Amino acid sequence: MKLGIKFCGGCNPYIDRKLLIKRLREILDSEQYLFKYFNFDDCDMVLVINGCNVACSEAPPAKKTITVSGLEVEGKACREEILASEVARKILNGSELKTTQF
Amino acid sequence: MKTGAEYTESLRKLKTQIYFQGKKIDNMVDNPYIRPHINSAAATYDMAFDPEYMELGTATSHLTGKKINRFTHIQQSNDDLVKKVKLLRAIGQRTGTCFQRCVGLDAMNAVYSVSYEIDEKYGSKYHERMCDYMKYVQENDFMVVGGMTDPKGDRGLPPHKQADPDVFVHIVEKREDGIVVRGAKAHQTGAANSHEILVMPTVSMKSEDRDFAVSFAVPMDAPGIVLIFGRQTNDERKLGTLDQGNPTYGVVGGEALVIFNDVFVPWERVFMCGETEFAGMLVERFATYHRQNYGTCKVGVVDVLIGACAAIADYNGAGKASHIKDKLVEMVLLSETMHTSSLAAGYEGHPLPAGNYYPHVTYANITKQNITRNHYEICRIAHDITGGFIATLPTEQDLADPELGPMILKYFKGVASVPTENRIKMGRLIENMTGGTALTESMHGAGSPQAQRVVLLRDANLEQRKKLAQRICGIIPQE
Ligand SMILES: Cc1cc2nc3c(=O)[nH]c(=O)nc-3n(C[C@H](O)[C@H](O)[C@H](O)COP(=O)(O)OP(=O)(O)OC[C@H]3O[C@@H](n4cnc5c(N)ncnc54)[C@H](O)[C@@H]3O)c2cc1C
Repeated sequence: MKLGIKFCGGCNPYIDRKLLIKRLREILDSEQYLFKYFNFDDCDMVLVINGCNVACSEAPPAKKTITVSGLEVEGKACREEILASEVARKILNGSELKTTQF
Repeated sequence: MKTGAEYTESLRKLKTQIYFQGKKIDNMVDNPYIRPHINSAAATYDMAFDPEYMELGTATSHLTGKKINRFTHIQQSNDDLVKKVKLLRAIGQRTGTCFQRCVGLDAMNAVYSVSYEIDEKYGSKYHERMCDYMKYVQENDFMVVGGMTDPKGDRGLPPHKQADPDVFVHIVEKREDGIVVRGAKAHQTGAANSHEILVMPTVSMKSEDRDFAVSFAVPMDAPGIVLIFGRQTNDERKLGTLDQGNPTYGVVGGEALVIFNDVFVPWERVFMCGETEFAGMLVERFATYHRQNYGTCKVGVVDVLIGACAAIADYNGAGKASHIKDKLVEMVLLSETMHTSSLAAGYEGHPLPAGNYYPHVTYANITKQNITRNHYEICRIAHDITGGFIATLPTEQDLADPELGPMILKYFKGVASVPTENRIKMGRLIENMTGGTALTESMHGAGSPQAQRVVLLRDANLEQRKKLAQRICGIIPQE
């Protein structure tokens, strides 16, 4: 499974975005999930990580996505300590993912 | 695009003539006085490759369609102006100091626009040359110095009336293949570790100042260029580590006096040559682009300072005190106020005749004016929160001494849970971020406060505002 990671530009992030990825790597099986940071064409899903809820970064079109916007996952408030586990839960439970339109 | 490491290596190839403390510096890359500034500039290169920042760190060239470092980009939209602002904050948060490269970016945007307008009037070829130059800069991912400020001599006199004409850069010879220039540019940020310098006039001019109305670009190691690297507050500390406060990235930009001893400039690199009526326009364009930046790079730096103050308050055992929290809030208020006008200047930008986008002039000037005050106030609060020990701490050599070190660790201890060394490190960071050179930059960089007030008054539209009041109180009829 290829998981694309798309960051916003990070002008003033409210969350530690690198730490989120580190924790996510610890939770998700590295054999099963390959993290990709560029060119999402062949990715099965894309995790969009915005540093705050201005959410500058848009989801790539026609992809299953999960969007983190500061202390929100898909618009729902989430504490930083459980951000990674909440994202991982959504990835593992693929039915909760959104598909972005062209 | 270059990575930070490639940028640093590329400097080794330059033969720039740099002097410091009476000696010539042959290897600037490994020189302890210059290296921190190189590291800071290198962050502008690395962030273009870092997935966490590349959305801001890169742009698409309107000239070649290629992906380029945003520090070589000609602003194509208000979104670009906003992205510039956001990028500068992100880098400021990472380096905690000036990363130097925005001056050249703003100079390139200013010259790009004005060269177009000179050509419109005179049918000259300056803009075409500037486009070629931009392609060259983008292709090589060069760091370019924005060379505006002349030494200026007697501030009350125009260039042509100076006792020594060399206090303003001027043309001493016009040849078939180019021009020869003499003079100097003062306070040049990042000059030692840049590849090129883009020179612009520094004041409005009348026709008598024809020889001084000149804009051009040359490599930093062009024959005849000499740099005298400026000293900074506490710069001897660069020979050590801990006492520097920010040992990797240093303080401010590493400024230098750049002297042009009859430097030859080929015509392809000349972008203004005697068109005095455009000198003031170029000064204002550069100043507006650059004043917008101050509410963002400095805000990124202040983000670090606020964090340092919150941490030191904890280390001191005062972090829970209500007045400390209130002072941290005040720092945030002052800082984000500067950032909002910087963002507004981008959101309310507009295209210039050359097609590149230009920040809102009033908002950009308000941004810089606020920096000249708020940054000082922020630093005053930082000193209040931190305590007097930052002015009296023993040296890092004393700390390393087997007999003195333990006594220092014992008597500079704050709360029991925090190692004294951490309290000292944080104190040194705050000390170095809030004194001397760091503050002067906020006052004079991108122009002294009065320069902004002149623009604010000019654009205040007081006649229109008088009418608003006259209408409301019935002196003139309501329409
Ligand atoms: C850290 C730092 C980095 C900088 N980086 C760059 C850079 O990269 N590139 C660049 O080109 N410049 C750079 N500058 C220069 C900066 O733009 C100038 O410092 C600024 O324009 C003020 O010029 P000055 O230092 O000569 O001061 P002065 O012009 O001498 O100003 C001193 C005072 O005199 C007043 N004054 C000056 N002239 C007049 C007059 N004619 N009438 C009335 N009052 C007057 C001013 O308002 C001010 O209050 C930098 C400056 C600093 C401190």
